[in-house]
Amino acid sequence: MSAGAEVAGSSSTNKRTAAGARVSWALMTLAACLLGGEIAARLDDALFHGVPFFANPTDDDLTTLDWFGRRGRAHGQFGKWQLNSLGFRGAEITVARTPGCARIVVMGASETFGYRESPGHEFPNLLAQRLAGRGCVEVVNAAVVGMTLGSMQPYWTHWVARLHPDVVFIYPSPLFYLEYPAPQQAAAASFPPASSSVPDAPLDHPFESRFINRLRAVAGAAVPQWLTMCRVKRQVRAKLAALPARAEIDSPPAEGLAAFRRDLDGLVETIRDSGARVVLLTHAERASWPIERRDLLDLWASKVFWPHAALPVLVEFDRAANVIIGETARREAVQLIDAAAALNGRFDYFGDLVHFNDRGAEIMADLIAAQARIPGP
Amino acid sequence: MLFNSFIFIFAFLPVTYGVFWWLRSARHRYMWLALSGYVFYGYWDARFCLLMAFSTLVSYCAGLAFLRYQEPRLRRLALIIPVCVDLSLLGFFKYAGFALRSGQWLADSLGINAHLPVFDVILPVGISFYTFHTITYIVDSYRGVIRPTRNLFEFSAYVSLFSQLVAGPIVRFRQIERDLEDLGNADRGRWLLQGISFFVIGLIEKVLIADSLANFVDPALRSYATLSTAGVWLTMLAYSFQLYFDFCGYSDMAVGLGLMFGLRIPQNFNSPYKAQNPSDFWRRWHISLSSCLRDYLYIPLGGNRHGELATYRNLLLTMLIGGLWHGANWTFVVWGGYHGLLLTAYRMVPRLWDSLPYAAAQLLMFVLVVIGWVFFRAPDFTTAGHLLLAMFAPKPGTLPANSGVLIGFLLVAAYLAMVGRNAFELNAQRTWTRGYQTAIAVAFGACLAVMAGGRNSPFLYFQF
Repeated sequence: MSAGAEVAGSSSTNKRTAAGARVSWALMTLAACLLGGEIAARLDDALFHGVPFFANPTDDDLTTLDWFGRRGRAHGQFGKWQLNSLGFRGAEITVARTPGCARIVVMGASETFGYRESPGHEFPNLLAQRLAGRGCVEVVNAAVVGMTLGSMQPYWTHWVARLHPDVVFIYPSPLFYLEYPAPQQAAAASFPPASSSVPDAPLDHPFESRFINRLRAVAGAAVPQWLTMCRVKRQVRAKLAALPARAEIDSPPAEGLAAFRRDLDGLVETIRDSGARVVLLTHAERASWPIERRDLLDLWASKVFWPHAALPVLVEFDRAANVIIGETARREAVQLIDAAAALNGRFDYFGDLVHFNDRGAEIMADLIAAQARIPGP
Repeated sequence: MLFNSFIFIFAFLPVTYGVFWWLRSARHRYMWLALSGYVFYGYWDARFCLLMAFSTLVSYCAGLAFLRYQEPRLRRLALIIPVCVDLSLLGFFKYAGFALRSGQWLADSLGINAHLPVFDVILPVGISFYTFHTITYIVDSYRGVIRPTRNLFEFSAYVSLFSQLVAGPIVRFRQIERDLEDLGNADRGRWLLQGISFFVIGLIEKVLIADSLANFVDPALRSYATLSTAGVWLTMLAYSFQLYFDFCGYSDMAVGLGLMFGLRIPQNFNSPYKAQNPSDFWRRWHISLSSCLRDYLYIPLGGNRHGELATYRNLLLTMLIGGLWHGANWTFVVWGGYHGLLLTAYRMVPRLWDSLPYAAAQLLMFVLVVIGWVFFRAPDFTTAGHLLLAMFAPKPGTLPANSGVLIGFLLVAAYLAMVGRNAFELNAQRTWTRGYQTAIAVAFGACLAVMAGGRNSPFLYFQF
């Protein structure tokens, strides 16, 4: 081998070594970045949300399945959501009422629990702030994500009723009844009615990078609307393919509405029997009627949960359920607050089809504070 | 668009940077910088790009007039007309509503039956800053301090330079004229690492410190009436550090971004909470604004050349106007006046003040600055009065939520602001080693994690 070839070979080896060193440093820098991000995400959660540094929380941490159905997990924590020792979102309370204070309970599903709002901006919490000037009034957010009116009955009886509220606001989520029978019917009768202090089962999740999860959420929000629409439509198609064939629901199903009416009547009756006053709220949606182009993404995203429903039915069903809420209020002589009239079709009040953003939650709190008859302490 | 947003860091900056260095000629780079500045600004509200373009054109034409005319009368016209146009824009968008509200209040107080119209227009982001850019250019051209440019794109790149567009620093044309002229021959690698270092340090200051403190300050001040004396002090201390790290962070990021594009933007903060006296404070805090106020207002008013009384008057007037520049509210005027009084007091008894031990003088100055921030932060005098009363008359009440964590943050912030080195000192003394690179990578990851947690907020100085 000539000297020139030897030099060329050595130079090529040096270049490869240098390139290898650069790649390894780039990888180490990336690893350092990921490590820094993971530590910061965990410290951030620990300092501002009280989530232990070494925990691996998921949204399962917010609920527990009790013998009467699903309820909030005591001290549950995930992301911006924190529950108190009774499994309710909001400040710590005691079961026994504070003497001289009125107590209000707000029941509902994720719209009431708070989903799209900033921490502390869920409407029950804002309502508490609005009512602060009217003396001592305690507002308890007893909502549980995914809760139907049917599952609210045992939840009320075995968990919430012991708070002895003066007033109970019910903000139902009608769409749970769209593809009746609703899956969340609790089979309370099959369990023995025992003490309500059932210890929460311990959680054990595998390690998940909180930094990567945060970045994933940001990336998801940055995806253009048309791409999200394609993804959502694909999800709907996949879900339909996995389900037994069924005709498309092209009008609000009578059985679903009947079940909604039956469960609402039952819940109102149960709560009233325990001595609390009931206030019903109609359900608000971002979509307009007739639906507009801007509503399509929201409706398709909802169709993932109700894949057999035609898009207009997602709006029609909600409005038909609101009529039932109004009728129940009149029949049972309970107060009705028409949230739908104030918020329906307001694109700027919602984060998606049904969940409020900060502005919507404020409007909702203002509306209730202005109309509700709150007993004096 | 915010520097501490994902769209800026992962979309706008890489594209702007890549295309800028791909282009070869200065002319093309001016055009690209100007265009990217308008995209950056238009991301907030595209309508106001027209306003900035109009202000740019007016000032550019004034520069051409100075090149063409030597007759004093014509030069004075070329000075007065564009400055008046710029000030009118600023006055209309920022101060018209304030003037009408104040007029109505005065009329009501005097029992005059006047119904002045309510004037509520959107305040274009950064108008106070780019108006100052254009005015300083016109005045410096008139004075012959700089030679106005004939290149519209160069001037446009200067005014709409995205790194300093919406919250300063108020970079004068003369300060980056040489770098702008040399933009075609700039060396990409020369300042890159230093630029990244400044940018990440700024991001740490903003995201990890200022935004974390904001988490305590904003809720506490929303229910300020319930705070105890200790609670108000804790809140105001937190706000003092929040404001400093917010604005200093923005300025450091601006410096870093400038360096990435071959432009050396001057230092805007030199550890102001290490100041020993009011004069020292204003040499360290928002240096670009205080030097502008000195050169374009205080000295033309007579500065300290006409005796002590005139000097005090000039100081007060300069600081009152400086306060009003910050916002169209009387609380800002009072804040400016308060600092004017401090400067006057220091000028009256400099020896007494300077005879204090180093630590005592620093602490005294810091406490005085914190008291001033009450007027700066409070939306009205009722709130300011309540906070001040609570600070000095013992009052029972609550502490800000999670105050144990807040105290931890305050200790870190106090160390960094009052003892530690600032970004310029760090970059002057440190070479880019692999250890430093790793530290920067860890810090960058930490900032991304906190930003992704949804706590990134606009910079406080955007409102001005």
